[in-house]
Amino acid sequence: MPSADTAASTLAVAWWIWPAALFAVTLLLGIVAVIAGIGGGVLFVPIVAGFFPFHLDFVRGAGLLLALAGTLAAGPVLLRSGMANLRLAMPLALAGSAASLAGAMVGLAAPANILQTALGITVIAVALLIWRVKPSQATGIEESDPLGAMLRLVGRFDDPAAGGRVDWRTNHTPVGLMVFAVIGFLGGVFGLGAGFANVPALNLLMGAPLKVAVGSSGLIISIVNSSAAWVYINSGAVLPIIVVPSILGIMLGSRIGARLLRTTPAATVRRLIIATMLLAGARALLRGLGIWN
Amino acid sequence: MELKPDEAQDQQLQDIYARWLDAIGKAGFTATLAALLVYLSGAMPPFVPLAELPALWGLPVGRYLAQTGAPTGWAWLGLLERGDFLSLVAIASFAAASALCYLRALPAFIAHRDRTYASIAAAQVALLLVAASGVLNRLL
Repeated sequence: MPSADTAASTLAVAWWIWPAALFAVTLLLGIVAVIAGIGGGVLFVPIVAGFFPFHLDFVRGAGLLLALAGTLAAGPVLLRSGMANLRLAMPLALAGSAASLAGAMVGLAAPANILQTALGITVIAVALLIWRVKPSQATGIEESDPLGAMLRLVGRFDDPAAGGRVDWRTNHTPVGLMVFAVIGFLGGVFGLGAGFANVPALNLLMGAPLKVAVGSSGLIISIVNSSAAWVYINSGAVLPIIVVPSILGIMLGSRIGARLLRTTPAATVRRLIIATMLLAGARALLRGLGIWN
Repeated sequence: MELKPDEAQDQQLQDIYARWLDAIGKAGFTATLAALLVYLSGAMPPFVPLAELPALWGLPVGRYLAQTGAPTGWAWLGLLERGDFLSLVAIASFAAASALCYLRALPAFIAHRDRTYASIAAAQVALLLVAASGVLNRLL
């Protein structure tokens, strides 16, 4: 909840300043997220919750819809190319959706200071995860686990970079389902896009090729976030004046980022993002603890 | 690339899903942009005046609702003449996209006698309908 001073300073500026600033910031987030290979959804909530006057309830609702809208735009292309795999996404998304509903309800019922503190810890952990975890390019799973075989979690796609057709299969399906339930729960609580966790879970745990992991992660987010988004919409925690400029900003930024991808040093941008996430996480943590309001 | 029968079925389903996702996504973006212009232009007066929002958007959702009298659940469908709630319809179309795609894919799974995935699709649709119905919000 903002202090009296914050509320007074908020009232002192014209109403359109904040949505305009939100558009500008999400435009920038869209650019750097593409260059660094990190979903914009995970950056939005900590940064906007930390440095904008909007209550965390509305920021989380917007965060879910922002990540959802981004994946809707990319999903069709990824599905047609085989980079996103419906068979792989559907069981994992079902586990994630059920958990995200519970997460959304917990998020809306929990006191704001506890949520801020937990958000701060989560965002710092995510920043460290992005920093430390290196994706695997290997596609060497030889045999599916029994559940994976039953679900026929296999596929192939044309990969010009690899010089042809890539056949793949996954394993560790039961553990994968549990991991996606945990990710879905956290996504529902905090309104975060979950690409930061989905991709390592698919790639490192289940053994999907990186491109299939990235593509299928987007599809999973579009399904999982739909469930939690309805809880926020039905609770009145979705304000169009926050959601719409954010969606438009990140979509436009993503297109610009895709054009700048070849010429911008991705490693530098990635380090910048990790530093920003650590700052935003520390801000949320200190705000939750009542140290920096 | 020549596909085995299973792969051909999978690709056909992926294409169906992609086509619907594409159409709903594009319609949603167009509607969102149009509704935003209506909202900001004041052509349809908003339920909560734009100038009052800075005093309200920092409040927890419960206090925001109490101060504005804004509806929850599906009651906002009765306020579509208001610019802000018209925008909400466009935004809600994004949340409805997955359920619509699954509903389109479900008969194809059944036609392919893929009981496991037909069950998963049916369970997912049921879950999304429960979420959209607002039943769970009554527990909050």
